[in-house]
Amino acid sequence: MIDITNNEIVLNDYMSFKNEPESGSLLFFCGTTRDNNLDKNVKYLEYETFEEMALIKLNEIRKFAISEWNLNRLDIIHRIGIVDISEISLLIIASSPHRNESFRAIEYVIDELKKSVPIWKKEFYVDGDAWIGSPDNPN
Amino acid sequence: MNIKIKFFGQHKEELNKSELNIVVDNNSNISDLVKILIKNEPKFSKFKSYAVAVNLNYENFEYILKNGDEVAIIPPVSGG
Repeated sequence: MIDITNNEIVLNDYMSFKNEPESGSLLFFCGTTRDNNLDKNVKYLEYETFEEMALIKLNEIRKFAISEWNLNRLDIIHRIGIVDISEISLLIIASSPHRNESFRAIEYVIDELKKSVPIWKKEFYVDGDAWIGSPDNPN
Repeated sequence: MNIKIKFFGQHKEELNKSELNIVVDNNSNISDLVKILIKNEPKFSKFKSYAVAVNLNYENFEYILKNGDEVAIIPPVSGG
């Protein structure tokens, strides 16, 4: 399952299922918002996306990972809009016969997401804000 | 040919617009489009680091445009 949502990601809402019968590993990864970056105190983050294209790219990443690591389940949920400190911005759930496949797949999904999926993050500080990841907009 | 350009993130903020329609000559490529874009929106010249997607697919700057193409200017992504 792929989802891009404006709603808060509540982990419990995604945990009420049994693992696939063929799997011996079920791994959850949560990316959460940190209150600091590059010596600045971060108040909150705001994510923006080009949703139509982001869904296509996330589906490509998911399809490759499922095939490459023989996964029985792979869910990728990304939140957009304002995300407060300590809240979940990214949730990845991977199920596989053995643990190594789930770990490798989740690492791949995050790495690829950060390379190619059109989602952008802006940090808000006490004294301003900055788009993250761009050398054109150093702060 | 009519081309629709979409802006996101810092580009959208800096230009204060999310879309722009531009007319280009036949056989123009993305590099040609960017030159016209900068004439229309001089502020865009400060941006050097971005990718482009045409009709939802990443393309290089030599991509030859077709009438009605939708070109998304993609600032460096930072999801996660």
